[in-house]
Amino acid sequence: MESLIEALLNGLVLGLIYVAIAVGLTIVFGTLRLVNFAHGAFYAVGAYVGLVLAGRYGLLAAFVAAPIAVAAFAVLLDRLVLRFFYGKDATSQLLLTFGIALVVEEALRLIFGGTTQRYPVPDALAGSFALGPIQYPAYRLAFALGIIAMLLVVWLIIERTNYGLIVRAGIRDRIMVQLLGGNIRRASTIVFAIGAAIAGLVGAAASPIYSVNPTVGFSFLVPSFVVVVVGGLGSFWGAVLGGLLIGELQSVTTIVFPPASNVVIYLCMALVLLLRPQGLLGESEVIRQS
Amino acid sequence: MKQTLSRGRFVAATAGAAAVTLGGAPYVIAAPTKELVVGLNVPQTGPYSDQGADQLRAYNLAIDEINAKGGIMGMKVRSTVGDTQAKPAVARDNAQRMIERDGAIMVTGGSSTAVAVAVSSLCQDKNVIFMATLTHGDETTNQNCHKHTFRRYNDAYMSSQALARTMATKYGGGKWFYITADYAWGHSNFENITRVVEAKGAKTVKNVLTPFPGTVDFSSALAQAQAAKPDVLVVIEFGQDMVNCVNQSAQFGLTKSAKILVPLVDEYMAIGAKDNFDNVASTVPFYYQYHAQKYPGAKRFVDAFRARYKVPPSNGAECAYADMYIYKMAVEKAGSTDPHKVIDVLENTKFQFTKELEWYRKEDHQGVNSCLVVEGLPMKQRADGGFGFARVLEVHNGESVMEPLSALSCKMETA
Amino acid sequence: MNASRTSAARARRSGVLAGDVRFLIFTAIGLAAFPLALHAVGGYGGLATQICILSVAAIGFNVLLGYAGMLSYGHAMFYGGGGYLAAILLMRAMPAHPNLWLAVLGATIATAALALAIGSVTVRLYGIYFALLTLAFAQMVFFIVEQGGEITGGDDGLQSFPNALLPIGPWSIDLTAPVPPIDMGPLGTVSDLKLWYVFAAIVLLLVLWFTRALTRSQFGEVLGAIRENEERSLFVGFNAATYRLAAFAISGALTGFAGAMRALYDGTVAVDSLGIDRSGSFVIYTIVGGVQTVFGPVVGTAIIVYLENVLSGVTPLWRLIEGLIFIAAIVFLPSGIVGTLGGRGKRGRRALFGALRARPATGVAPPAGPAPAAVDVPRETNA
Repeated sequence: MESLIEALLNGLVLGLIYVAIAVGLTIVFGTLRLVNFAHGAFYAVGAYVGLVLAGRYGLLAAFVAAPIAVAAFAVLLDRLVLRFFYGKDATSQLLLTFGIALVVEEALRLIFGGTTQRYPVPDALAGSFALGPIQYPAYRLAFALGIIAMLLVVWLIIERTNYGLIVRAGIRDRIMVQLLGGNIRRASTIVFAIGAAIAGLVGAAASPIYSVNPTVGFSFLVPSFVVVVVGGLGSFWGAVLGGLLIGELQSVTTIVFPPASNVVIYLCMALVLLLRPQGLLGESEVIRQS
Repeated sequence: MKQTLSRGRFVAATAGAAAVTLGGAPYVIAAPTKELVVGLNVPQTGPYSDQGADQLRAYNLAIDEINAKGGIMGMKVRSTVGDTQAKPAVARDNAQRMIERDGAIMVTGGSSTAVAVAVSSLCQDKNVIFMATLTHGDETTNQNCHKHTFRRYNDAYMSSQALARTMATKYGGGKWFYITADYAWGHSNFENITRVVEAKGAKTVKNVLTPFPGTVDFSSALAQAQAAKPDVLVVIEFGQDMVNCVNQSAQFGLTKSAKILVPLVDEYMAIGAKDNFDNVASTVPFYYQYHAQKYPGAKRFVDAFRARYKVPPSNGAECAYADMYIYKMAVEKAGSTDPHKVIDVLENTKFQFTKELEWYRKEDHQGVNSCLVVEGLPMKQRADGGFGFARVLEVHNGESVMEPLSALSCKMETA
Repeated sequence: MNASRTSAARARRSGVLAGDVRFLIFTAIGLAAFPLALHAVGGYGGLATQICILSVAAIGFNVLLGYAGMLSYGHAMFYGGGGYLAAILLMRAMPAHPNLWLAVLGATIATAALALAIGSVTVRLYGIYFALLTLAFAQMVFFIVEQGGEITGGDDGLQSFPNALLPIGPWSIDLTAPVPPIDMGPLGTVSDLKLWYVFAAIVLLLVLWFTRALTRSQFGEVLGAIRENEERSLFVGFNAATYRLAAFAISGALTGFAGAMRALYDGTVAVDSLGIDRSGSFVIYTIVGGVQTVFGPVVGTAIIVYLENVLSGVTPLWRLIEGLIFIAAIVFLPSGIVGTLGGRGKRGRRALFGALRARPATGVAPPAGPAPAAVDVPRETNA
C-alpha cells in the first residue's frame, strides 16, 4: 500500500515535469502551428544555466536566471530563423528544429562534458518529509508545489491578460486575429518565449531530481509529445491532464509490471490517437475515415 | 519532365566529377609505407563521451611514446579515429571504414558491451585483432567470444565476485535490497552477487528490475527500497544510469541509511555523483593513486598522462594505454603483424605494464588481472579535483574471482 | 476514365519506352561510377553498399511522404523489423542452407503484413497526428524487441548469422566475394568492392525504376490527387483510404526489404535499427535530398551517410556541424538538393508548400470550399 502511495507521488512529480514541458509545447503549437523538436533543448539549456549558477549563487538565483536566459535564447531563435516557419509543413519544421536541437546538445557537451552531473540541493530541502505512513523526499514536494504555482501563473496570463487573449484567439483562428488588428507578430514572439521559459525553469528546477547531462533534452522531448497528443494539441488544461496521466501511468506501471513501463505511454498515445485524435481536451476537428 | 530528370542528374554528375578531381588527393590510397594503422573506435558523442575522450588521450599518449622509440618493429604507428556514438551499428560501420579504407590491422576502444559485441564479430570476419577496451558485460568473452577479440578489463562476473566477497564479510547477515537494470549485464551481476552473499547469510529482500534502457526516473524503485529499510542497497546500473540512480537515492535518504554498492565505477562517474558517492562501495580494475604507488610502470604512465593532459587518467584510459602496449609486445614477440601469430602470442604470454603480472586466458581471451574493491571518499578528502575519489578496501587476485571454465559457454573459432 | 487525357498516358503512348531505357542507362552508369567517385573522396566499398541499401529504405519512406503526402516518424519499425525477421529466418529456419532470397523475401512479406496491419489503423489520421501515431507504434516495437530476451538478443542484438548465398539458376553466389580491383590511375585503385555492391546497386536500380513507374502509373496519379486535395478526389470517386493504405504497405515493404538486406550484409542486427534516431534519419535523408523526386532520397542518403561516416572520423564536432547543415538545408534548399537542381526554384517552393498544405499540419479537415492551393488534379509529379 505504501509503495502505491509513493508511486502515485512519484508519478505526480514526473507528471508535473511533463506538464510543464508540454504546456510550452502545446501553446506554441496551438498559436504558432510550430512543431518544435528543439523544445527539449530549452529544458537542457535551463538545466545547465541553473547548474552553473546554483553552484555559485544558490538555487534561487538559478531559478530566476534560467527562464530568463532561455527566453532570451528563444527570442533569438524566433527572430533569426523560426518565424519564417510558423504554419509551414511539419517536415520543414521538423528538420529545422531537429537541427537546432542537435547544435544545442553538442554545444552543451563541448562546454560541460558528457558525464551526468549532480545538482546541489539546499540542506533545508535535502531530507525527507513524513507524509503519513511514508517518508517522501522534501525537495520533490517543494518542486511539485512550485510547478503548480508556476502553472497557475501561466494560466492567469493566458486567461487574464491581453497577450493571453491573443493567444487563445490565435489558437482558435489565427487569420481572424490578424484581420482584427491584433499584433500577432509580437504576441507570437512572446508566446514562444513564455513556452521556452517554462521549459527552462523546469529544467533548472527538475535537475536536482533527475541530474543533468547533454542528452536530457531529447530524453524528455518524446514523452512530452506524447503528453501533448494525449491532452490535446493547443489545450493548456489538456497538457495538465495529459502530463499527470502519463506521469502516473509510467510510475504505477513501473511497480506493477516493470517491462511495460516504457511501452505503456506509447500505447496510451496510440489509443488516444485512434479513439479520440483531438486529445482528451483538444478542440480541433480531425478528419477520420470510417 | 524526362529532360528535367536528365538535366538534373547531369548537373549532379558534373558537380560530382569536379569534387572528385579537386578533393581527391588526400584520400588516395598511397603506396604501402612503413606504417601500422590502428583503429580507435571510441564514443565521442552520446552518454560516454567523457570516457571515450579519455581513452583517446591514453591511446595518443601511448602511440606517441611508441613512435618516439621507433614504432612497432620499425613501423610507425598511425591511428584513425571513429565516433561510435555508443551505438553498435555505428561502431561496426566505423570499424569497417577503418579496416577497409584506412587499412587498420587492429581495432580498439569502446565503452559498452553492445558495441563491443558488434565490433567483435566484424573484426573476426575481417581477420583483424580487436582489443576490447571498456566493456564490462560477460558476453564479450563468453557467449559472444571470438578468436580475434581480447578483453583485459574486468568482466561483470569478476567485479560482482570481488564486491560480494568483500562486502559479505562486513554485511553478511543483513538485509540486502537490489535495483537491477533489466538486461543481461544486470541479471549477471545480480546472480553472482546473491550467490556469494546469500551463502554468508544475507537476506535478499527484493530485486526491483528497471527497464533498460530509458529509465530516467528511479524513484519507484528507490521508494520501495526506502520502505524496506535495508542494510545494503545494491544499485546494479551502469554508467549514467548509475549516477542518476545514486543521485536520486540521496533524495530518499538512502545514501545515509544504507550501504550502497554499485558493480563498477570510474572517475568521471564519481565526479558526476559528487558527494552522493561518499562511502559507496564499488570495483575498479585500476585506480591511479593506488597503482602509481605500487608499480613503477603505473607511475610512469600516470605521470606522463598528467604531464600532458593536466588530469590523472581514469581506469578506462589505463586500459586503453595498456592495450596499445600489449599489442606492441605481441607483434614484436610474434615477429609479424599476421593476426594469427599475434593471437598465438597473446594467448600464451604473461606481461606487465601498469599493473601486476597478467595474462589472457586462452579459452576465452579474458584478461586475468586484479579487481579492486573501493569505497568513495568523503568529498572533502578527494584530491585532484575529484579524481582521487576512492580508498581501496581490498584487492582481489584475478584468477580467484574469474568465472570458472566449466561455466563458460564460449565456443571460440579455431582461427 | 480520365486516364487517356493525362500527360502520363500521353507519354506512354509516345514512346515512353525510350525514356525508360534512357533512365535505366543513366542510372546504371551513375551507380557504376558511384563507388569510384566515393572512393576518391574518402569513402570505401562498404560505404557505397550501405548507401545503396539505405537509399532503398529512404525511397520506400518517400513513397509515403513525397507521393502520398504522409510523414511517418516510425519507419524504423519496418527497417529494423525487416532486419530482425531476416536474421531470425536465417538462423532458425535455414541455418544449414542459408538462402538470401528466401530470407529477404520472407522478411519483406512479413514486414508488408505488419505494415498493412499497422496501416489499417494509422492511415485514418493526417499530418502531425499520423506522424506521432507511427512514432508510437515504432517505439512500442522498439521496446518490445529490446526486452525480447533469447528471441531477439535483447540489447546485444543478433550476431553472427550464417553467410547467406544468393542462388541464381544453378549457381550459388557468395556476395562477400571481391570484385577485381579497378585502377583509376592517379585517383588510386579501388580494391575493396565486393559483389554485395553489385547486388545492392542492381536492387537500387530496380527499385528506382519501380518507383518511377509507380509515380507515373494510375496508382501514382490517384495518390497524388489524394495528396493534393482529398475531398475532391473523394468526389471523383476514389477510395482515399484504400489508396493511402496501399501506399503505406508498399512503403513499409520497401523499407523492410532494405532492412533485411542490411542485416544480411552486416551479419548482425541490433536494436538501434528500430530506434527513433533511425526513423528520424529517413526523414532527414529524404528532406535534404528532395521530397517529391525519384532521386532525392538517394542523393540525400548518400550525402548525409557520407558526411556522418567520414566527418565523424575527422572531428568530434561532427554532430554539431551536421545540425548546422540541417538548418542550412531547410533554410536555403527547402525543396531539397534534387528538387532545387531540378529547376523548381521559387515556383517550386510555393507549389511544394502549397501541395503539402492541402493537408495542414494540424490534421484539420480540408475546408469545405475551394482548396487553398490552386493546383489542378491530377498533378504532374517531378520525377
